[in-house]
Amino acid sequence: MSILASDARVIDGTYFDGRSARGVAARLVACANGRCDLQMDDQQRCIDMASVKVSARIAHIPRRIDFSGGGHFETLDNDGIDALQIQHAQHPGLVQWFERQWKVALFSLLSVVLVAVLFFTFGVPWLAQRVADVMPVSADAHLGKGVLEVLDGRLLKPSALSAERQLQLQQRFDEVIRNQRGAGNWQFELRNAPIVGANAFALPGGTVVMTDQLVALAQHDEELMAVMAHEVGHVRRRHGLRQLLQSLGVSAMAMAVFGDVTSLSTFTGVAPALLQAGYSRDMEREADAYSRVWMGQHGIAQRRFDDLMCRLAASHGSTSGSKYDYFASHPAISERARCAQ
Amino acid sequence: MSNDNTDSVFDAPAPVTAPRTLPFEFRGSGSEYFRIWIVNLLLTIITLGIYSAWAKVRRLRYFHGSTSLDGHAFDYHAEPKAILIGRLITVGGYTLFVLAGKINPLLNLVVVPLLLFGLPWVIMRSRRFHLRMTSWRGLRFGFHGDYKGAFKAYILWWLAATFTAGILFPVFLQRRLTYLLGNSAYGSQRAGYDVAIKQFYAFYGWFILKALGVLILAAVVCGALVATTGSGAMGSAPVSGTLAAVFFVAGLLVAGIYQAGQLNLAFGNLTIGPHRIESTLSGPGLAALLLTNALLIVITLGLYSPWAKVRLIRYQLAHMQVIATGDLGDFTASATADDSKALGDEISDFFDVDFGI
Repeated sequence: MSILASDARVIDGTYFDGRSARGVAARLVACANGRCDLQMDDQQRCIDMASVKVSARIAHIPRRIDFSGGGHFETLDNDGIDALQIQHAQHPGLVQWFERQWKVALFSLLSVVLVAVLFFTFGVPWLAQRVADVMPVSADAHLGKGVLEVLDGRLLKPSALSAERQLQLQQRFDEVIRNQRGAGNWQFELRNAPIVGANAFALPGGTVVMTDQLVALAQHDEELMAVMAHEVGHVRRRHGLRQLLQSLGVSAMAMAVFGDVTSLSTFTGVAPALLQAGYSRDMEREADAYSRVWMGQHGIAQRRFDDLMCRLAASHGSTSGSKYDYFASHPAISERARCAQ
Repeated sequence: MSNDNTDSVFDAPAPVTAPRTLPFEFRGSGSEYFRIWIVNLLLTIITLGIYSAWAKVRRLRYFHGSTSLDGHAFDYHAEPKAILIGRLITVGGYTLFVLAGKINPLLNLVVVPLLLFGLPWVIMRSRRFHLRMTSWRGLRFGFHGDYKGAFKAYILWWLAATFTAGILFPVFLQRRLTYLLGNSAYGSQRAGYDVAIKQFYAFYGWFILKALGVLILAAVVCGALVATTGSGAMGSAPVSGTLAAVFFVAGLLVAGIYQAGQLNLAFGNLTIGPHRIESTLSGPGLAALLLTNALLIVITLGLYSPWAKVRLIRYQLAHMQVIATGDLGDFTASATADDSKALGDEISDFFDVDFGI
């Protein structure tokens, strides 16, 4: 009995009856048998601690004890409430303790960074691949639909190449897509693109577009076939759809991490854009590898790809190992092709 | 720690009814919130997002509980399970919709009617849930706005403003704030928000003049910069970087002026019974805070975010106060039933719905 008496803590606070905003100075005194005394000016209430709801501790904010019949007691004496809970065989909770330890915060920070790096490097591309696998091929075609029409009005003009040359290139393309599974949607388009310059790109679903400028840059049709195979690789590996799925994953993660703490959408917008560039480099590597395997299988010398890539790099004036590599959407030329010095 | 200061307030109800100025006190700190944020973030990741509902409740309880008025803190009462259900429905529905829309673009046509008719519902439900879950001195806040009111204020007046090339824009904003604030309540006491439309026109007139002034100043600074460095330097990275920085700062200044003015117009005219709120935020002050926050967040790769949030809230609360006339204990509870469905609030969270304050 004497031990209990010396242990008895007094917790000062305010009592609100829940019917009006008027508070009454009150104190909570622990007593025996899982009960507490709530003492106010003119009255005293005996509280069964098993029947009340004690709010979780968060940092320094006031603690509240909700009574079963309405009304609550509010106090800043968090330690006092913790002691009271322990006395009544209730645990104040682990999360509130974690939240106050710098060691746990540091551990959490390192873990979050590690998980984020692993997730963005391996998780997002892997997930996108799995989801793409279960999506119908018609999804790709829908993604690419209408894109060429939009470009045609602005950046691209009809090809200025002779009809004869166009037919020749179409035949080259037919050679590249021969024996490609999923054939039927393949389409080859030539365009004059003074603004874009020498380039080629693939739309999801199977449309491959090549500019007159790239055709002019090539010194051998096998070089152009290497590029066609590269673009076919993009289509076959469903890069358009995967890119879309990856961007969804990245935005979701960025929102989950920073959505609560910052309204700076610029920040949450920039990080995904940088990551996108990284994914797009991975896809270029995949398409390069696809092209090189195809060349190997069809007896085309590997240097055809290297030659055109190096000439392309020289014409765009980009030097190998530029300091902006990390932000570029394509891998450095030094990595993609072996150029003669 | 004891709260002696509060005892005296309640023991002796002041007989005088002279207005008292009561500041909002904010006791939160960046270092405290950083720990709460990062620990809850890790728990959210470990549980594949499930814990985010509990994290949200802890976050809001931290900010509510750190804010006190007249010696008593606010509190937040939402049940994490209700929030979790709302989140699951929102995320699941959105994912299905996006994927389906990519496969069949015709589905995207549904977005427009969905936005037109869904947005007012989301706004109404979100406000109702959030205010019902907020309390002070044992009484819950409330929101009495209905769907019809939200549809009129947010959709019809917005359409009217759009079709009149913006001439009715201040009216739209007045309707929006009147709906949001005028329908709020503390206990059984309805809030009052009665601001004449001409005050909104005055605010927007001044805002447009100030914004033009800032932009002209930025253009002059840029012009001087180009003139001194020579027009050939336009393309160089340091010069174009400086020009971009000048316009970034100008943009933030305009945003600060707008937000501060809007908050003052909103909260500075709010009354609750015999009491009223004063709001005296300054545009350049808010802009300076937004700028330093943005810089520090970028420099620290996002780590500064918790400090930035605490700083912003502290700044806003430091410029708001309650002018109380009479006893704040006179408020009584309302008889409204508890509304605990969180779907609307979660949809508005997920899409970062702009309520217009």
